[in-house]
Amino acid sequence: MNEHANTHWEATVSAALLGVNNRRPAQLDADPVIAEYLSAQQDPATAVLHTAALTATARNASGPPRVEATAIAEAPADDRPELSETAARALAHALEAAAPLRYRMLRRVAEAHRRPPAAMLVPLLRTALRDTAAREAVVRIVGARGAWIAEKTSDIGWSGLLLAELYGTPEGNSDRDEQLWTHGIVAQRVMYLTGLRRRDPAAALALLTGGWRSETGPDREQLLSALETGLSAADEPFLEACLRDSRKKVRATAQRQLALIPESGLQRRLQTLVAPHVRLGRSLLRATTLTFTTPSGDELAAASADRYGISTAGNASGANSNGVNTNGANSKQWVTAQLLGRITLPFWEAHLGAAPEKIVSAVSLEDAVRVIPALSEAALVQGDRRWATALLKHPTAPVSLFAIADPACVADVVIDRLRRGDVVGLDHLPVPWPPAVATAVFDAFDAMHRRHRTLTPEGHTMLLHLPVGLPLDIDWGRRILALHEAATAGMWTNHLAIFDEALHIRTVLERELT
Amino acid sequence: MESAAPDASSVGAGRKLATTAVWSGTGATATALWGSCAGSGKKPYRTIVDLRGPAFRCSCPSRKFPCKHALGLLLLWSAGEVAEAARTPGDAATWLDGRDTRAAVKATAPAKPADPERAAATAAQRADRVAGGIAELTMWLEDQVSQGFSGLDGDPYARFDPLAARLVDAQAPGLASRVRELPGVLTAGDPADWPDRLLMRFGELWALGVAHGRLSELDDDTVATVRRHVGYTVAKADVLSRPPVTDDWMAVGRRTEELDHITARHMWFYGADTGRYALTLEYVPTGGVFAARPPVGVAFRARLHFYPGSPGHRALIADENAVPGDPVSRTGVPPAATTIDHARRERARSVAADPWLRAEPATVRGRLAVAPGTGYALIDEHGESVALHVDPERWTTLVATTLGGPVGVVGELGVDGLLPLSVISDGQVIAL
Repeated sequence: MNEHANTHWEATVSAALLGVNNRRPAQLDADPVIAEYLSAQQDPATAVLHTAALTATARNASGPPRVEATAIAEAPADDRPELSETAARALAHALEAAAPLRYRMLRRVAEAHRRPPAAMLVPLLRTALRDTAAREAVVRIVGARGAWIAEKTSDIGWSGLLLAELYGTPEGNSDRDEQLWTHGIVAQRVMYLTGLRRRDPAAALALLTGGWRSETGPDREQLLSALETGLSAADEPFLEACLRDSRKKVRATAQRQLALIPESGLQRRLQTLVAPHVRLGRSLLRATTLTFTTPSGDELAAASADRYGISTAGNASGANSNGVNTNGANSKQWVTAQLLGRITLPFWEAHLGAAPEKIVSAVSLEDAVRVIPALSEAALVQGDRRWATALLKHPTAPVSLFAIADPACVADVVIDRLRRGDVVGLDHLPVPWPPAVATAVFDAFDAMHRRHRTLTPEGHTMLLHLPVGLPLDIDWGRRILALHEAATAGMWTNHLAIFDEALHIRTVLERELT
Repeated sequence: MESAAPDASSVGAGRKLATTAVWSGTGATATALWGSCAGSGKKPYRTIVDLRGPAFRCSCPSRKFPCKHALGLLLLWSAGEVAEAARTPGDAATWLDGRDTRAAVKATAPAKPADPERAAATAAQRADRVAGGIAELTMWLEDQVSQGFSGLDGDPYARFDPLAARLVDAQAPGLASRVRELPGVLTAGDPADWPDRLLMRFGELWALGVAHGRLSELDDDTVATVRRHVGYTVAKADVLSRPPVTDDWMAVGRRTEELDHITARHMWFYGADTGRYALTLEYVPTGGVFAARPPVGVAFRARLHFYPGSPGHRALIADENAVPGDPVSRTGVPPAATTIDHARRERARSVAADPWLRAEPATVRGRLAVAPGTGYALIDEHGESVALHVDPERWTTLVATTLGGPVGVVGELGVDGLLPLSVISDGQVIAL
């Protein structure tokens, strides 16, 4: 090793490594920084240690070396007015709070169009990482700076999990940047395409079809989803072509989108297929009954149902795009459910010559299990409030309808359910509640507490939702006082403390944001 | 309040109890705070807080200290929800009196009868043992370079641990812990350069041994520095007898370190008038609770007594118990941020006085930067750069706090880079 030593220090290290008894250091001049302190009269081992001590000190004194590094770019500006310090503190507490309050407060802040203080960005983004339901609101709150942080850090940007959503942030002004389309990652390109689609649907379609052949399978799948914004009959030829795509998920997306275009060939074919099989009839016992028959295999084949993703092979096909639960389904009912989930709802009114309420009430009990969820799914996908409201009155209506149905009807249904001790609806009810719902919850709580003398799981659910749903412009002091008395008597003051804190956080945030 | 809590979950639990709904029989005087908290059991928990300490007592079985009840009561009190009381109730008064009596006994108890002859004999005996340990260390080092230390990277612990154990026996714990760091030196950095790094560490140890052999020729400061690195302890009373430095001390950084069964807390303070950094080191058994200190960014008026030796950062706070209660005299002034070059020169000055120095406090102004690979760095306005020792999580906090703009970073400047402890944003010091 001595042969390669270029400096006194290198020679010293080599000699020490082999042992100065075995090999003396090569005779080289010491570094001038330490040379004057070295003495010639030392024995070899001491000379090595002395050199090492001086070198260590010189190295220590010169401190940390320069590194080759590039400064990171500054975060994009955010000109929204800043969230007040009090509001930011309340939001920080809300992030730690139970689900109903956490989601409500995040949505509230997102709607308020305020800039969160820099110190809140990371807690918000970490919440979004672990809690998918909080993502949409967080993405709106953090704005373009969220994407900036995710790009610059490995833990927030971990596996690009949040990036796609962050790039889609409407607060960002980068969606006009064509560079994103030509050079961006797929999430940025989807964002650009969605933005363009909002401004000029035809241009977006042209841009997508132009380079379609050169896109990879996973990219095609994600890019195609951008067409959902501003979908119209003009997109039909392209979507029809996508039905022949080699990638199954691309075909499924195209099938779903075609079904959403009321005048599409797919809709027409499905409607023609189903029309002779669904009719309103009069039975002996009931006034009106909706009857179904299932199209035959030949009929399905003639309508190329298979090509449009209608599966006849039970629930194992994976073509369950309308999300209907197919457990234990026989294949005929399964076909009916798929068809009902895809056909645009106004068709039924025209075909059957009846209003949604009448059609829903004509569904027989044995059919309801299959038909009501399928029609509800269609109402949700098509965002049809009239149908959602009509379906809501059915005893087996799924609670997901609460989100789009007429709020007054929703309130009636929830109040009715609360009287029977059913609290499930509270999760889906828009907040703040109408005063009648709040009163009904307090009443249901009192009834529960009178009967059980303690906090039941239903009571606990009510206690979690009350601080989120209460309309704050009404004084609920008397009812809350009753809660406190019940809590002291029933030994669950710790749960009430959570209620108090939640109500406090919400009151503060509402006050700060208005 | 939150700095008194054992952990974050306790703060959360305390916050949930900070409501009048669960408390009864609460009251407060200038020095004490008490109340009964309804829990899951039949009998409420009785909680008493001595506000002078603060010290806590609660009848709950929680192993956390202070428990959530004490924290909740404190929060309730700070929210102004506890009424002033004229007199302290019986149980609280008994406990507080007991504390006073014990404190008085401790204060007035005469120190152990000093026996100068015996003390001198003990000191001489220790010096002999240390000298014996150092002679052994020096021989071991000479042996390594005479016979050659190639292959030592194969099983470093087997080579270094017995030596460290003998140095502990020789009452030189400072040297022992430096020897225990050696296996880590082999793996920290470019694998091809381990002989360089190790030989420099050998040199440092050897020089400490030489310096210890010549203590009588050195000035007082250097003697104290050498003795500190060898591992002689300085009695608290001796430190407290040194003249105090009074200033508005602002807490500018804190970090904890897990040692064997012990947690060490390093807290950096900065004095506005003296422009001086001070470091307090405290130790508790793992899982224990440190005494309350002001949170980072808060200043308090206090007298600090500095340990002898260079570079003169380590200090003790006089009137230990008065710290949390003392009103903050003013908002405090954070240290002025310098260029990286300036910080390097300051550090070199300290190394000149203490060649064995590891880290020097520094406040540097710059922008965050990334080095090729995964390195993080700070670049100042002159293009000078220094590596930042941060984990990805702390890096994220830095990125979000600075938003890519210039920022003052308070940290420990080591031989390889800067360990950031806090940032200065809008004149506020924010802990990382």
